Amino acid sequence: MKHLASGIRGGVPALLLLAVAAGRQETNTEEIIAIRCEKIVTAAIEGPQTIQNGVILIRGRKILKVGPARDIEIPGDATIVEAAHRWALPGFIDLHCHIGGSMRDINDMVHPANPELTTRPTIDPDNEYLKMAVAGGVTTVLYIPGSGTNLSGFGTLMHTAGGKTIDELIVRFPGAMKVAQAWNPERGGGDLGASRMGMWWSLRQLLDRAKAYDEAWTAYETGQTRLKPDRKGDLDHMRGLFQRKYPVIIHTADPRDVMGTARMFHDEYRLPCIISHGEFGGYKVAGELAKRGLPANIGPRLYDFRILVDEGKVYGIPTKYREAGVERLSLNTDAPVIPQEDLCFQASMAVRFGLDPLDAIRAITIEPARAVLIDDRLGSLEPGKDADILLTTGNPLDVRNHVTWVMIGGKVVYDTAKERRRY
Amino acid sequence: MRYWAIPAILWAIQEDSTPGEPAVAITGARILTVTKGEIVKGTILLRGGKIEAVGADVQIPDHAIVVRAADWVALPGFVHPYTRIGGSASGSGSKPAHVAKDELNPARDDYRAVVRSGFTTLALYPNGGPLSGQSIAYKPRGVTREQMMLHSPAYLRMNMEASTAVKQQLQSAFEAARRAIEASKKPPAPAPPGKPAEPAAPDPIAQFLKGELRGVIELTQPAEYLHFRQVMQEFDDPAQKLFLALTPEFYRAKDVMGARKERLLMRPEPAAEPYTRAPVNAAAELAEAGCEVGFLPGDNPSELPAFLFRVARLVKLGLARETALKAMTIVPAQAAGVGDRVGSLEPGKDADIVLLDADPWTGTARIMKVFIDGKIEFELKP
Amino acid sequence: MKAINYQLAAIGILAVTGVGAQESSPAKPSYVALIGGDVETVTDGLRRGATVLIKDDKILEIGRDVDLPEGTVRYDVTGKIVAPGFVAAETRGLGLGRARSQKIADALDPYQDTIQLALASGITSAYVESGSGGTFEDRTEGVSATSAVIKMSYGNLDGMLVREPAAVNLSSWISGTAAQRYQIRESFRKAQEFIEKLKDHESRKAAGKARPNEQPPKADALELYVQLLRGEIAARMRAPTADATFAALALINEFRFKAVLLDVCEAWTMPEEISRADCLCVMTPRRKWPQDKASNRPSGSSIEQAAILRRAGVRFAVVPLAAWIDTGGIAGRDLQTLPIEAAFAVRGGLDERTALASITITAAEVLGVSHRVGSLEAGKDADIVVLNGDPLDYRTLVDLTFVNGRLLYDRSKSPFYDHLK
Repeated sequence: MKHLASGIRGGVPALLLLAVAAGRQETNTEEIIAIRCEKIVTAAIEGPQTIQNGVILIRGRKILKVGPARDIEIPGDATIVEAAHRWALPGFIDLHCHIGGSMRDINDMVHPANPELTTRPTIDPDNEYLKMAVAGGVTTVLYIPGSGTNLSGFGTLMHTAGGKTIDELIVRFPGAMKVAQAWNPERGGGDLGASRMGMWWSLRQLLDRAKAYDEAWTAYETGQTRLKPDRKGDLDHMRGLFQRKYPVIIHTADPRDVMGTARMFHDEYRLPCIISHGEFGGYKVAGELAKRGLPANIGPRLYDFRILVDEGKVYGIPTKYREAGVERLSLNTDAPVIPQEDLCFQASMAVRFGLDPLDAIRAITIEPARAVLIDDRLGSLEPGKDADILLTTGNPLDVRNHVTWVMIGGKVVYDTAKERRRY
Repeated sequence: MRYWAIPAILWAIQEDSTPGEPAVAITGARILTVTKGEIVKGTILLRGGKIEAVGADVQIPDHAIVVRAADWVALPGFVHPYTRIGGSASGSGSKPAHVAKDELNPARDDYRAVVRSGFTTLALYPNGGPLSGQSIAYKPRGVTREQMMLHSPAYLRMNMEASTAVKQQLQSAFEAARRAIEASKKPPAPAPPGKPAEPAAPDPIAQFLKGELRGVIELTQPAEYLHFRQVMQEFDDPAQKLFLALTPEFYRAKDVMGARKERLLMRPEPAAEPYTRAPVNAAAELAEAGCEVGFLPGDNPSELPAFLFRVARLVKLGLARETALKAMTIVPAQAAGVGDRVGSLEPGKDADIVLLDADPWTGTARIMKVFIDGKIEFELKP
Repeated sequence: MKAINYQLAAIGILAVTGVGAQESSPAKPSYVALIGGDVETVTDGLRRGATVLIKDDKILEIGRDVDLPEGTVRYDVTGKIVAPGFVAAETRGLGLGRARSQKIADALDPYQDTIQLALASGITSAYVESGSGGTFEDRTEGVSATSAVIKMSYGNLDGMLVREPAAVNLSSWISGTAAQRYQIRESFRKAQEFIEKLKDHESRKAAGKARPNEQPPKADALELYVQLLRGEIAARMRAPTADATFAALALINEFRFKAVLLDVCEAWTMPEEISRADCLCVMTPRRKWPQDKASNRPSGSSIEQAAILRRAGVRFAVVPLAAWIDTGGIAGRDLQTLPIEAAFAVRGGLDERTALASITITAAEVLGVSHRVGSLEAGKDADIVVLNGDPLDYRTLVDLTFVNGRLLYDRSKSPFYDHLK
């Protein structure tokens, strides 16, 4: 029985450890790692949310079993991670992240709408922000372009560690299409898109074209027609939206934008979509999102005070969405607005302003995974899912606790017992 | 009466008063005297620019010109206690000895809006610096300064800011004045033979400290009140007649100001609570706390026509009618040092009268006629 | 009108009623008792189920069996935590009015809106600086701001100023030009000479050897440096990097004055040196400073800094990432959550007692006002918060805040947080 015990100070350099882990995976995918911990927060879509004295079995990159220690037999040749005083959680997921690259390369503002742009080539795997993200337990981010234009391009769903190249970090490309509603993308030059009217007209025009493009190609690909449509590079990625492979994530700023977004993307075009930010009083139409079952992705602001709220009250925005019936609730950092490593702290603050603690944990694990349509792989500790796992010194919502160990896809990517602690 | 036609029937009362001058009787009006209560239906008798009688049973002399005001409301002309209207646009000096009379400009055309809005007395203050000079009270009629002048000096005008420089400036001015007061109490040195002692010009700051000259201090932030009182601590004298010109925001300091029964001049507007937009009826709260409230109508002639409406809104929000009425008339008149001449409807006072076609607190009352010194200076044409 | 003015009136009334109450009866003492809470004294441990008795603006007694004088206003705080009001060792934009002023005392604004939010966050004392135009600039080389310690005494000017000046800003020793550094050293040197001359004068005078009418030497522009050398005031120096800290320590070690190093991020790499120089630090556990890859020694910020400094015996205050009241919706990073920043020091391994001290008594020490505030002790100022939970818990809210013995914030009567549990 090999012990990869967290908390035992070993001399193995992290890099070597990675190499060993990677090598092991290639040579023997059947090798099993067992984590024994004080408490597991599963964040499962259904079923028990916490397990005392739990065991997680991992084989290769996948979770094999999750359950109480008494119910799970650890195979004799398993590598055991002894974490008796640790909590285990699924890796945290942030759907509104701008720190995957150099931060200077997320806004290309020549055209009002840029479906041809993607963040994929800007990813910098050796980026300091990502290193901090891992130390804060964030294992997956939707790295999206900024809000400088109305449609700023396609984001990439990526891991924060565990790969040396761009491709090794990518979870899914495209991750989502990024749209920014009014305020930030309003164009001061007096050309089209200086107002919501112009922006919404050009968005609809683009969506109409993309829909027709997808229908034409689908007809061709399924043999309904032999007429091969012309390739249009700017519309290629948009096809996946209509096929519901990935969603649109929409930066919204107030009730009008939240409502306009729900109408356009959900009611009219029937696209999977995520209402992001939703601040500045956006919760006032939260009931409309609840009716439609739309996911809300709240942050970086977590309370409304003074802005469109005149009662002198500090209202927790996530709480307001929850109270209005929005069940699909996730939190974001808009990193670097809030540093990426403080995603979990955003959950803490949401609780301070009234959100249920378990809802807060789910809002940085399973709910963002569902919203971005990757919950078949990520977001909870359940058999068959990717082994993206954290160990913490206790309830991660309490800022006095910290992340000691992070695994992504079955590989240990951060271990405070073996390297300088980052957060 | 420089801007509009004079009704022929009232021509007679335009003449200078002579022993045989006919009286004017305003009859049938509801009269708000301010100081002597309300007369449901009565007569105001004017003669020689003064109010001769006010009452329900006033005998109307033969040959009196009768102004029928049935269903109308008569109240004293409004007093604007703190204004730059009438002054020079380039401003004035900043010495306590400066008197605003020197800049009063009869040729300005603001007076029309002033009178139309019911104002019959104004106090012009000299601006600039913490101790900018002495104001004067004038009436918005006449073509020369002398015809306009009512009273000079009206008050010493001060301007407060919470800073070391301004606090020190006030402090040292008060100290110098106090030294002068102490020195004047000693027996005067014998005059040099052959030359009579020249009486020294009165020091307005010393006059203020002794209560011989009113003072008005302008404050912008509530904290400045506390800083001013800190400066005044060692110069305080119950004889002083001080008015504070401030903003509705000062309701925050109502308890400390109320405890001192401060006299205030403030804009007739609600304050907004911080972090909410809940309106606070600052005038009402300050009055209830013990302050005496007068209104500051503002310096922009175009906003003066809304003055009565603004006050009526505060009454709707709970300001006592009596407080509101006094705040438009007698309190500002006292601030301007002319409380014995104007600000209420009493025999012997100037015949400055506003006639409204409805109760002033309805918010829709129109100003039908304005009398200054017994003469109609404005009337609303049907 | 009362109905319309429904919201914050409570705060205003609370605040100014207190003022009126004291002014109307200055001779008769007023007593307030906080009964039954767990009293976190900071300097004398936790006293469970104790009573804190306040007389006027001071703490009179803390204990289980306290006799309450007749007329004592009682607050049952059973199940709550009673702690000293938090002390913010660095702030911006708090408590100052619109005008530029030489002295902060003359520009204080006790009616400032943000004070209400500071009170709702448990902050009762704060260090403030008024940027430029200060007298010190005219008088003293290398010093460019006026500083004061003020209280969040809403509506009350009299009890607002605690001390002015509170510190000498010597950051230009680190960030300034070589000429500025030269001037600062020269000023210290001349101040030393002055102190020697003064000693000499006094000893000759005592021995009757002074010339008739001999005047003592005057410090003039060196006055603040003399105060620094005498330990009457502390110098503040912004020293985020190890280089800056070494530079500061060199000056401190040369002239041996009381110093506070601000914004330290790499102090954890040199705790022993700081400990030997006996200076205090101000830090933000979450503040990040990049590693210097070219450096041959450890570099960059560390979440463990507070714990490392503590082990070396260095005392420090914690300040938040944003040293002001921010109402824009970003949560947990400004003055309103000062204790949460201290909790991040615990995350880095610091013990909870020292973490609480870093926002109370040690912060008061940094500001030179620990004889008055920062702990709950008989005789100290009655600046007290009542909390609904562990001070370092991320969910904890302030229920009551007293400043100078007056209740200035009551969560149940203020709109801000009354809807939260």
